[in-house]
Amino acid sequence: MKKKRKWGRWGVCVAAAGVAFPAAAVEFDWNAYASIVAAGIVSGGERYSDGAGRECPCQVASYTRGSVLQYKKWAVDKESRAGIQGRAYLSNEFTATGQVTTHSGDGGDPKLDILQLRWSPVPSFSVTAGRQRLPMFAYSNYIEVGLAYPWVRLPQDLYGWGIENYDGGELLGRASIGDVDLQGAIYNGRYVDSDAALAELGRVPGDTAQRIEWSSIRGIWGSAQWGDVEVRVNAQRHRERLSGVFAADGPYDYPRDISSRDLAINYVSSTWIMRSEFLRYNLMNEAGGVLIKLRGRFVAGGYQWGKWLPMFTVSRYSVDEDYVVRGQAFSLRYDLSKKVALKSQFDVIRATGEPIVRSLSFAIDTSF
Amino acid sequence: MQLGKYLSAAAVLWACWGEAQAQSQIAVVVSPSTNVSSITREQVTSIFLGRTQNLPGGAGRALPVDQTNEALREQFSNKVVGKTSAQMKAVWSRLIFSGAAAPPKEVSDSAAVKAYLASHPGAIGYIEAAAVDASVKVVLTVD
Repeated sequence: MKKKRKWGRWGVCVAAAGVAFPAAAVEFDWNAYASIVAAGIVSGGERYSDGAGRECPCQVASYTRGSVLQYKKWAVDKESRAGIQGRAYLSNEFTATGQVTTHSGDGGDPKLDILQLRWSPVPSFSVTAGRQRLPMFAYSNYIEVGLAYPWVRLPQDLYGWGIENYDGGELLGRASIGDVDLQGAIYNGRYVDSDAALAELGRVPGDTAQRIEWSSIRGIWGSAQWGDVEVRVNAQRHRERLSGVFAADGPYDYPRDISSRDLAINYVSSTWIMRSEFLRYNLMNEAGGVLIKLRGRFVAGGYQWGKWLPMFTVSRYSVDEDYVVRGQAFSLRYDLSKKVALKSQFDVIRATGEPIVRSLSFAIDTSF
Repeated sequence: MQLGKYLSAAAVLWACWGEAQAQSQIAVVVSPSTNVSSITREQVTSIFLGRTQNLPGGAGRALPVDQTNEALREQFSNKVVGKTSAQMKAVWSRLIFSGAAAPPKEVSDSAAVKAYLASHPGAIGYIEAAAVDASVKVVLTVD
C-alpha cells in the first residue's frame, strides 16, 4: 500500500510534466553503465562460520548493499550491477532525468535511483527537485559507476553508510575566477528504506527487516577545480532512525543525530595520479553529545602508462580509536577502449583483534 | 647512388611528417554568430570536462560538441584537454550518472560539427584545421 502511494506521487509529477511540456517539443537521450565483478577471499586465518552462516574469514564488499565476500568462494553476485538513465530536455531551462539501477549484492531488484527535474534559467545556477543521489562523500553519488574511477572498489569501511539517496531539493551555483572553476550547492531532504540491506550484515534468523529513516538531511558541498587539481568539501547533518524487531531482544527504535565532514583532494594528470579523501562522521544523541566518532582516510597514488593504470592505496578507518581497520590495495586498470575498462585489485585488510584478510577481485566496467 | 636513395627516402619521410603535422592541427570552433572571439586552452578544458556551462565573457550557455572520429577525438583529448579519451569518458560518466550534467552532443565528423554549430548558438566543437571554412569561427588553434 505504501509503495503504491509513492508511485502515485511520482505519477502525478510525470503527468504534470507531460502537460507542461508537450512531447513533440521534447528531446530525449539515454545512457547506461554496467560492472561485472568477481571476487573472493584468498587468505585470512582460521576458518569459521558467522551468525548468518557465511564461510569466513570474510570481507564486506558493499555495506550499502549488505554483501560479503567469503573465504575461497568466488562470487560474481556480490558487486555486479547495472543502471540505465534517460533524460528529457523539456525546454532550454528544464531537464528531467530518471535512472533505474540493479545491484546483485542486494538481490538485484530494480531500484529508482534518480527521478529529478532540473531548472537552470542561467548556466551558472540550477534548482533540482526529486529523488537524487546523496553527495555526502567524494564518490558517493557515482560509486556504482565503475568506469568513473580507478579501483574495483573503494575502501569499503570508509563508504559504509546505509542510505545513498534522498528525496528533496538542491540549489547549485557555478562561477569561474581566472582558471579556477568553482561549484557550490546546498541540499535538503529525507529518505526511508523499509528493508535496509546494510542490516543484512548482522541479521540473524528471526530478526525482522530493518527500517532506516534519514530525515532533516541538510548539507552543503563545494568544489574547486583548476588544471589537474580538484578539491571538494562536504558537510551534512541528518537524523537517523533505525527500527525493527530483534529475535532475541524484541522491538527496537534508535534515533540519533549524525554529522559528517568530508574533504577530498585529487590530482589527475595524463600521467601521475593522486587521490585522497578524509572524513569525519559523528553519531550524536538528541542533546548533541557525541556517542561515537568515526574517522576515515585514504591516499592513493598511481601512474597512467598508456592504457594501464597501476595504483597503490592505503586507507585507515577507526571507531573511537578503539577499533581500527587498516587497508592496503594494489589495483590495476586497463582501458580496453574508451567505454570499457578491465580491472584487478588485491586488498590486504588489518582490523584490530582480527587476522589479516586478503582478497582478490576482477572487474569489467562499461559506460555508454 | 646508394646515398641518393637514402636522401630521397628521407625527403619523402620528411614530407609525410610535415603532412602529418599539418593534419594534426586542431581548430576549436563556434558559429560566427556566437559572441566569442578567442578562448584559452584552459577555458576549453573547463567546458569539455563539464566544469563550467558558460562560454567566456558571458556569451551564453556552452554546448560542447564531441566527435565519434576516434583519431581526432584522441588528439583533442591529449593536446587540448590534457587527458586521455578514457579519462575524459570517466569524468563524463561521473557527471552523467550522478545526474549533474547532460553529456556532450556527439556527431560523426567535422562536417557534422559544422552543421550542428550552424543551428545551435552556444555550441562549441573541434575540427581539423584543414576543414575550417566560412561557416565557423575559429577561437583556438592547437598544433
